[in-house]
Amino acid sequence: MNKEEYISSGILERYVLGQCTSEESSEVLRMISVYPEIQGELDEIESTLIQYAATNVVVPDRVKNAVMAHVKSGGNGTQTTNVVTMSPPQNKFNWLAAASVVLLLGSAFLNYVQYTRNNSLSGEIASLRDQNSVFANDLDVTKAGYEKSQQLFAFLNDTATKVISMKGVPTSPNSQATIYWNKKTSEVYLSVNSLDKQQSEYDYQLWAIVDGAPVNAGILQMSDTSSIPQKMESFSNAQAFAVTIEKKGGSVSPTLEKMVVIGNAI
Amino acid sequence: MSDQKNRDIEFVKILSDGDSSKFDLLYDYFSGALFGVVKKIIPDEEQAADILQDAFIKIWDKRDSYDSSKGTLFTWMLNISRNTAIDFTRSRNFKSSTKNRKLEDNVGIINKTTGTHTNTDVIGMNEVVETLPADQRQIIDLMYFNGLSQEEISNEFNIPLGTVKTRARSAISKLRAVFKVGIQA
Repeated sequence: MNKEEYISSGILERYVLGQCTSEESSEVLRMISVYPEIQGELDEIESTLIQYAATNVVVPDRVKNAVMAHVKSGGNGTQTTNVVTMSPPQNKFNWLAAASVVLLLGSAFLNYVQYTRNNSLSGEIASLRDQNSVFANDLDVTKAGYEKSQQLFAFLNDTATKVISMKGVPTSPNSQATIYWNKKTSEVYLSVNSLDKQQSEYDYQLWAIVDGAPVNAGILQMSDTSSIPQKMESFSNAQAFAVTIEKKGGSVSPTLEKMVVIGNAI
Repeated sequence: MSDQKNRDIEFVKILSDGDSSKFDLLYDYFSGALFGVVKKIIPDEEQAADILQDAFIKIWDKRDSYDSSKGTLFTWMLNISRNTAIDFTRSRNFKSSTKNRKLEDNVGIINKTTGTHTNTDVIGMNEVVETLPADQRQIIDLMYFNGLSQEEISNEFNIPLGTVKTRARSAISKLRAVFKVGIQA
């Protein structure tokens, strides 16, 4: 994938919004190391989102005061050191005093060992917790994908689902896409069989012809997985479906001379 | 290296050093945006301020757990703030009248709340933000303020995934243009 395609894929927006899987996040960092310009793009997206959320917001001063008070009290060590004073040993009990010093030192050392161990354990717990939330996130994504496949399978298997093959028009004879339309639920899915790759400033847009007029049915998501049926807008009534090439983001009405495929729904 | 990258490096160093005297730099930079996010989840100004305070205290206390290989500092702080706010909406203290609000209603609230508080400094900016088409704004607000993924939005609102992705991207590129103009003006 080249730099422009990567930027326009929308992954950077999802990265800033914390919606990337751990694989995608590493990929973003890898891409930045190959193309440092991507960093600039990422910075602009982030600063835009920061400004957007901060628009018309006035934070009450009491919040800053409370936060800084907490930071300053907890930040630089509040542990009070306990000073142990020892009374001068009486001659008879010198050996007892010596033994107690040894014990005290021993216990202090063990305390110290325990303390550092505790610290490193709580660090480990924190990083395990983070890792866990990354896994939970990945699992959610996988689960959602699985549920979606199941739904899709049921949909395709439904006897009310009609398969409409959209064939290429004379100007693009090799293009082909398929519509799966369930008249009972009105749901429409589309799979790409063969459509030329578009430059990043264009989108493929699906139209349903309803009572002679074209109605927007959604923008096609073009990726490596676009042969898997993708959900489009629902229609209870349509006589035909067609795909046109439109400017990025889609158009209100279709550019008919840029039609690539069309299929009859009746 | 970009200014922002340098700024992030400085901020991360403040956290890793536990430099409490400089934490106010992070606070000043991020508190506006994070308060904006929290307020979209908890409309009550006082409750939202309490939650922002909790979130910043968590950010400080958990400062060792930030890992720059997993995302930017802002993303990490955004997640903590959003999760603190969302957890609160599930608690007993959250006003019960708003508790059972559905996602769809939240979007309405998002649209309504922005624009009611008018800060004289940003009147011009606000008008430009309002020019963002409602359908694009809905997508970016659901992703940003409600933390929904594009797949979840597609399923929940019955919008084709490709359309969700395109609207999210168009929204951000429009906002980028708006804020660039805003800074220069």
